[in-house]
Amino acid sequence: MPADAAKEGMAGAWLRGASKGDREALNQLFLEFRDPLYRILLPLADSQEDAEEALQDTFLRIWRSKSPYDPAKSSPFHYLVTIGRRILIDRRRKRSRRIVTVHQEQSESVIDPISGVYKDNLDLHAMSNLLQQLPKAQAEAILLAFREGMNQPEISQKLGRPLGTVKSDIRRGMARLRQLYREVENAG
Amino acid sequence: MRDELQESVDLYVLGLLEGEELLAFEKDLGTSAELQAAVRESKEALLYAFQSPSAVSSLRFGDLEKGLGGGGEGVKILDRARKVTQLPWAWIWASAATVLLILNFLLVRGSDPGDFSAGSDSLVEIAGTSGGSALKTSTLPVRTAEDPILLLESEIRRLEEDIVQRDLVLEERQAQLEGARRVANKMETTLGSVQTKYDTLAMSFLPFFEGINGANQYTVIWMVDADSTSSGLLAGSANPFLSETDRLWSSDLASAGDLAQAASLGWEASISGTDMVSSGTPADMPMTDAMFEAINGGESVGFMVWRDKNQQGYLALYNLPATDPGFQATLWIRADSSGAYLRIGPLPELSGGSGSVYYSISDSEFQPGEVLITAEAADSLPGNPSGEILLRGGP
Repeated sequence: MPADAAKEGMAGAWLRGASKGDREALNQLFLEFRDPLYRILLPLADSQEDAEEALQDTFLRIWRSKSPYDPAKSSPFHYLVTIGRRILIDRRRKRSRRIVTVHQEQSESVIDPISGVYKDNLDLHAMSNLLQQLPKAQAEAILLAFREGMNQPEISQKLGRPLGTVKSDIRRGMARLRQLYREVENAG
Repeated sequence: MRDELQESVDLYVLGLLEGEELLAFEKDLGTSAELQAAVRESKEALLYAFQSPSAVSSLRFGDLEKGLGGGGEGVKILDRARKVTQLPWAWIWASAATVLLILNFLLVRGSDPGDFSAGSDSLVEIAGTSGGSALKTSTLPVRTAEDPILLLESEIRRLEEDIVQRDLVLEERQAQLEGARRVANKMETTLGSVQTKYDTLAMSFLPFFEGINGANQYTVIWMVDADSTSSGLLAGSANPFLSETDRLWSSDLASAGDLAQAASLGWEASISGTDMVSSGTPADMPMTDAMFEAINGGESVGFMVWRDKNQQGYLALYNLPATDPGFQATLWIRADSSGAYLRIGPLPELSGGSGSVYYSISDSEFQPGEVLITAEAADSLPGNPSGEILLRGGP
């Protein structure tokens, strides 16, 4: 992902070009961001295939997008991540509705009634070291918000914790993540 | 950066801001460089935490190009839609074919076998036995691909397959219906349990008011989550306990955060409590709708009732946040915002953060005006509230 402003400016121009039908701009965007974006989408997806499809759909959505990219609100990479994450959450919700309906009788204890995802999706060991360094309650709350797209009352219900505790966990968890990230940046 | 703003940044990055809050935030984001930097930092930290460092995608630009001309994502959606809309047409065609085939079959059965042979080169003489002894010959058609019987059998097989398919769809629909029924039952059960909880809560604190006549005076102080920014819950006009002699302090979060320096007052305080006390007579629930909604929504709320005559306090708590290991929820009260806090003591263990607590104070003149619950280190006895505020209420 581009580190400096000039690179970001160029990536922004590719984004705008791609949404106006410039195939070469889309190609440049794809070459620049395919793997960085995939590295984010993979842990957010339910499978490798799911991540690949979301990756493809992200670039296709840029190609067909009519709303202009606004560099004041996010970097090009963050913009792509936002689209890819939204695609994954939408797909998972559609899928989970089907799973809950079809398998309700056989596997009610396995399927979570709120999100429809399998409970072992909450396995924190699959996540990065940074997330594992948070207290479990904080990591779980952040995971459910960012990966599953749940709002705070839904997280509270899923984890069986009071809403105030969940809010507090998210606030503390994000503060800790920023702190850890700064330490990594400074060390590197 | 202010804590509230940083919290909004984090919620935005996690996709937890919604509606007007989101619109307002994005409007500010477009113009504030400080906000943009904060969003970038939070997002980078979050993405760093989530990334899978060594993963490489197998997607090629050539694959992507196939979807550019109106294909890709959109095509998949169209395919799914077409499958759904094709189902009725398949049945219409199947029904029409069935009628046609039955008519054909009847025609074939009703016609002379010789019709098959007339003018046909595809007939052979086949010898066989019939009736035990008599040797007879009969004329039968050789079945070719165009043979109506074969066509009929093939159509019947196809129809049978359709019927099997239809049965499967029917079974799936029945399973869905059953699922919906079970969800409805579950909701009914949940509603029943909410009602029970509601009644239990009513029973838990109504006895406290038994025997009250007009001469008694008591104070009700609402308490809210330290994170709350809305004061809607704090409006006291719907409080059914209030009469002309009662006083109600509505919490004002802006002023409630100023913790005064405490001094030892030498008062003796005692505290006791259980989770969900259930005794006394059930009665209509004397709670405001706003408070009940907040409780059901999992918000941390509570209220304290103080009886002047008995110097007794009743504390109802709902969804109190859990404290970190080594910390305990501690109750403090004080007469007014300029006075010192009196440490009542640590709260007893409450199931799920909800329950009732009674306490009394020996000082006959004491009149509480503000109440606070903080998370204090379990191994210390601080004279002042110094830990994280869990709930607070007061003038």
